[in-house]
Amino acid sequence: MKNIALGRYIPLNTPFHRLDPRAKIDAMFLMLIAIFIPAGFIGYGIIGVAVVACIYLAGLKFDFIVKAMKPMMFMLVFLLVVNAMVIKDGVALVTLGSFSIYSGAIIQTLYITVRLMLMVMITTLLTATTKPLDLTLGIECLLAPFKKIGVPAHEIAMMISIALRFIPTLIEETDRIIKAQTSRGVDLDEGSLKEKIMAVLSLIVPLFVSAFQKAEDLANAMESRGYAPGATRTRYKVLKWTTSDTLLIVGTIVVIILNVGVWKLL
Amino acid sequence: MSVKFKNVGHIYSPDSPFEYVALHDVNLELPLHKMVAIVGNTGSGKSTLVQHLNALLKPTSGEVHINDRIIVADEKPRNLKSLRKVVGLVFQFPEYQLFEETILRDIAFGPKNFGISEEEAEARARMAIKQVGLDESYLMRSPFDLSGGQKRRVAIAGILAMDPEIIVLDEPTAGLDPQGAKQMMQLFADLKNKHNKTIYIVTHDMEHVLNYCDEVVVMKDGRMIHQSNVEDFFAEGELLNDLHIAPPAIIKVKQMLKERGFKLSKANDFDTLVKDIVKEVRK
Ligand SMILES: Nc1ncnc2c1ncn2[C@@H]1O[C@H](COP(=O)(O)OP(=O)(O)OP(=O)(O)O)[C@@H](O)[C@H]1O
Ligand SMILES: [Mg+2]
Repeated sequence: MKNIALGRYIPLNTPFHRLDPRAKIDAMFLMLIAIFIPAGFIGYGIIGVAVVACIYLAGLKFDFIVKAMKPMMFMLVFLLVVNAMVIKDGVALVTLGSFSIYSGAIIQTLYITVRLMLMVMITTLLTATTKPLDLTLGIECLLAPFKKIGVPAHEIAMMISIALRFIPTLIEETDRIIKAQTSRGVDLDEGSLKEKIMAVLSLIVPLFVSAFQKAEDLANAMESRGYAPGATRTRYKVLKWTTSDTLLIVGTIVVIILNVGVWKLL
Repeated sequence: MSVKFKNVGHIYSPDSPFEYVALHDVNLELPLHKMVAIVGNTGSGKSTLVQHLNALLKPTSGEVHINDRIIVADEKPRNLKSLRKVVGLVFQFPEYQLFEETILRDIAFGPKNFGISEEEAEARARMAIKQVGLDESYLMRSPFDLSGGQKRRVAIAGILAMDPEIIVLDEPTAGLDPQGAKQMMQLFADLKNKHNKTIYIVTHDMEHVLNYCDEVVVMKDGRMIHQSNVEDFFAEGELLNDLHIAPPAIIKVKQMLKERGFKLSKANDFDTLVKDIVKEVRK
């Protein structure tokens, strides 16, 4: 449970960690756009090389990334099953009676798998190398222009940062509650359906109680320190855009151009 | 039958950037039918240690023997439920584990999980709630309407109702009022004395160690650095200094008297002390 990697910040001091959060967020969006350019596997190869280079620069271990992808395994299996039943392109690879699995289904699944993997890698790269607070600050700065049309930029950023801040806390809490209930004989793996429902209840109820309690405590703490959502404030930390940030953006734009090139040429 | 740690090491999140060695090569034998205090500074690994006792945590190296069960690193233990029936663990801040609609059902939850019948479980709940110093009228109330201290009592009752042979308590009295804490400690002492239970208790309160415990285990930076009976522990001036533990008042007074040449008996209560002083002064 504690080993959940998705969305977790890894405290290291690499060039990638030191980049401006705004640059990283922009780069992430540009890369996500690049993924949706239909440049086939070659396009994904280009993006993949760029992403892997960044992962290397950020000092992230390969198995950390693999762990971050684990939660989507189930989805991919589901996707494979659906594709196998629906897509009838290409040649039949396996035939079971009147039902065949076609190569098109496999290729299509593989294609989506690669796409999802890249997306998880890119977002993990952002969350693993950017402190939640910096991330919020970045989001807030990027949303600032929309304030004029009534987007509550600061509030959105604050909500995101609180949510991110509490992910590890809730994971820890879940872990604790699992242990406490396990001591009371709860068995999450075995037992009848009724016992399983009871087991899940014995985890969810305390988790909700503690989450609401924490929310209330946090609200009180913020209020007693004079937090007012709309107030103008100065910043202790001011973001600074450096040459490496520009390089990151240029790099991602190059990737997009390459992808567009591949798409148009092929 | 005994509880033994053999070269036990525990590493949290191994092979990740969060890797943390919480226990180093712990060798330890804990006596049965005694009350053993586990002390040490915050972060010294006490909670980690006690969670090995019912295999909530498995050693990453070494082995833990609990009665005839052996939990070995790198081996998936089977049928842990039977172990958890024998070793009841009360977590630090157990009030967060309450979830049922009524206190009765919450306390009966543990026993029922271990295959006790509904009626028997409820009978045990009735007994357990009285043991922890609340009356039966609480049983039909929601556990969420209680004060923090009352919740703690209900959570402890939930473990007592499982009737484990070995009861492990992680700072059960932290945050309770002094009177309530004393009652709790008296309850644990009674469970040991009258019901022949084994009690292992993590605590920071030296008065409790002195008044209720038989043995002391000291943890420091993930190592077990001292194990002895209570008297010898409080006689280790250097160790106490090193741990920044202030010994209980009576121990200090006795030390000062001894330095001035008083002959005192071993017992650590004020009655005996006063008698001793009177006797010495009269001489
Ligand atoms: N789930 C975990 N993941 C990583 N490290 C942990 C985890 N739980 C505890 N630790 C670390 O292991 C060390 C020992 O923790 P432990 O909870 O055993 O201490 P403790 O002696 O019980 O302290 P306290 O008196 O504060 O309860 C601490 O430094 C803690 O940071
Ligand atoms: Mg602890």
